[in-house]
Amino acid sequence: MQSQKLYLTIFLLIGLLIVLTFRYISRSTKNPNPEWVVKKAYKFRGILFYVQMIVLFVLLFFTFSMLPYSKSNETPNLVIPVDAMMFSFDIKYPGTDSAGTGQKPYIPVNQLIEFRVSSKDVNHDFAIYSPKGDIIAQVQAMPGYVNVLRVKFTEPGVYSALCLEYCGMAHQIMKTEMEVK
Amino acid sequence: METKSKNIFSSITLWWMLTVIILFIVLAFLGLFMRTEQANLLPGLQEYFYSAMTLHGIGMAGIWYVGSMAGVIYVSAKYISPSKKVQNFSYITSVLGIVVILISVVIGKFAAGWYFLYPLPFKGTWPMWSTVAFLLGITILGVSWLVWNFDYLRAVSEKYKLHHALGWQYISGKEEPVTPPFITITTTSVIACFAALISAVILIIFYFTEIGTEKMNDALLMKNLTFFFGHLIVNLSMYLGVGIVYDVFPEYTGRYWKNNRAVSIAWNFVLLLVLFAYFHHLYMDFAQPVWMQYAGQIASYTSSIPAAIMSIFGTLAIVYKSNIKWNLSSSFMFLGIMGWAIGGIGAVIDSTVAVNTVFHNTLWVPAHFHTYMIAGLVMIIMGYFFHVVLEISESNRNERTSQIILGLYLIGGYGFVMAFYMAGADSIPRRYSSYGWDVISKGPFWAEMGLFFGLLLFLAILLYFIVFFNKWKKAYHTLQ
Ligand code: HEM
Ligand SMILES: [Cu+2]
Ligand SMILES: [Cu+2]
Repeated sequence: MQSQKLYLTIFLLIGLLIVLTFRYISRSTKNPNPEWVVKKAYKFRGILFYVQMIVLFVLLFFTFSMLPYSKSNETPNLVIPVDAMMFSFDIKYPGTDSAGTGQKPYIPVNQLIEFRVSSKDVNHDFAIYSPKGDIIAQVQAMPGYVNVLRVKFTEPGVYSALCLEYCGMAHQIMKTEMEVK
Repeated sequence: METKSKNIFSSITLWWMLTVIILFIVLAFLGLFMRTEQANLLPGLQEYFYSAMTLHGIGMAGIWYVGSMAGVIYVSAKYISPSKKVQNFSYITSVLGIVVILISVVIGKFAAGWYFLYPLPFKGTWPMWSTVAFLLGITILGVSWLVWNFDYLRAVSEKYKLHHALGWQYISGKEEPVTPPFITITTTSVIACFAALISAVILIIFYFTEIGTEKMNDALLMKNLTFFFGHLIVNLSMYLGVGIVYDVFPEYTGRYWKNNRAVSIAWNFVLLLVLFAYFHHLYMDFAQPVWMQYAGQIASYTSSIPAAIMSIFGTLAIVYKSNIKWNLSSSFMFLGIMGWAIGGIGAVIDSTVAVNTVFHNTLWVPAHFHTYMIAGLVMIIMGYFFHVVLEISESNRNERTSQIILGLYLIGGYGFVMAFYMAGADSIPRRYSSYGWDVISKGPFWAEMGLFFGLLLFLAILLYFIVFFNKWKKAYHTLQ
């Protein structure tokens, strides 16, 4: 399953569980029981505490192995500087500065690409969308800093990059395309 | 209803409540305007989108903060004596701050967003004076609220030693002296709030220094300060609201929250963690030191533990098989805790670095915070405000009109936020005035869905206002 849909499903399931719990509790007030004291729930609360701790720590451990930051033991096959500015991206494909080669630059598939993203004016964000329209990776573009994003494109096609940090009145039209083949 | 000696903050609280609810209606209208724009139903008014967004954001964050704080002051009169003069001062200066911000946005067309990232305020299409006015407006609010918070801490320390107010005697195993949980929760929150406001002041000083000397600031440092402030102020509003629930809910259930070791540890822990959770706003700034990214996820995850185990579980335990009197107030407060829990799940999911790569700055973000606002804090405060007008006007608590309002509010509210979640999962960006590109072509559809449910929600808010205002007038006359 595509990751966004997986997260949405997890959210909806837990959300449903919460709604059912609140419904169950509010229904229980139809038959009030003055004998029942809150202290009786303490033991259950203790169990919940440990369950929540364990679940969260397992998740922490597990998701820390999926961080989007560059790993020192990898070397990129291709380095591409990207400059963001109001309201466009300047992608500097290697070997195209002198221009006039006549060939449209592209990104090779299944190679580790390193984008070095910065900004010439305000904060922007370089978010890469798959041809189907799902975000696959993103990084902020901040003036004065270079953010290094490494991506391996596993499928060929035309990818888009949109700006995902509000950068002014034309923020919503800031886009570029990259061909992967 | 039992007669109580009159609360000395009755009058100022009435004004706070009316101001908050009226502004809420206006700001919600701006929200509907934005969704309409995003659904491509109002093509002519595109250029106003980002101004509306700025005003809606700052306004909503502001009114629910002051709504909670004013509510806290009213409850606190049971235990401590905040200064009446300070209450009037913060009311007047808050209104003044709002007016200055309105001038900046409406006349000056300032549109950098309610949390604006340096250096955008200097690089926009709006004139420099509107940036200065906006910063000035925030300065007025910052000073006003600093004084407000300071006076609250002063009032607390008049009655309790600070470490007792924080519940440290319980942590060290003693049962004496007794501190109500309300005092522990609000004291921890107000201290954290103080920190938030200080960071806002530093931020504004940096901005004004740049205006004066043209010395450039560091964008990453400015972003850290911005989110330290923004994240804290929004979270603390929620905690203040929860503090109110701890104190008021027992009046309906007849069961009381007692302070003890677990409660005190939980809230002191929250105070500590909430200061580091804001790191999750900078996960996609790869230039930020990596330890901060780890710390952000750890703090965000663990801060959900005290919330779930103490406050949410506590609410459920207090209601379970109790003889609770369900009315508009108690239902709204109970369901508000539920909305907080659901929004919290959305937040925890997104505070996972690995998830944030695909959800950062998509509509998933407004989705989760509108959940714990609209379905959480706003419900708590609306319920509580109703409780207060009934109390002041000495009216009967058994309001029957509440069923329709509640039903509409829930369907409208949850439908509205669902449209944000679905759009977020479809990679639709937040803060887009229109969704013109192929890759985000589902955006307008979700905007239409959001608009439809948003209208139901708006209707519920209007109905609430009619019922509330009725009692408000009665309360007003009772005080004369
Ligand atoms: C009552 C109905 C409401 C409606 C119809 C509404 C609608 C909206 C919409 C359409 C956006 C823009 C989303 C985007 O594309 O980025 C937005 C943003 C926002 N809303 Fe609401 N909203 C409502 C209530 C609230 C409440 C109760 C709060 C309380 C804090 C709130 C706080 C915000 C904030 C802080 C933003 C972000 C603004 C920004 O990105 O600068 N809203 N809202
Ligand atoms: Cu941009
Ligand atoms: Cu942008």
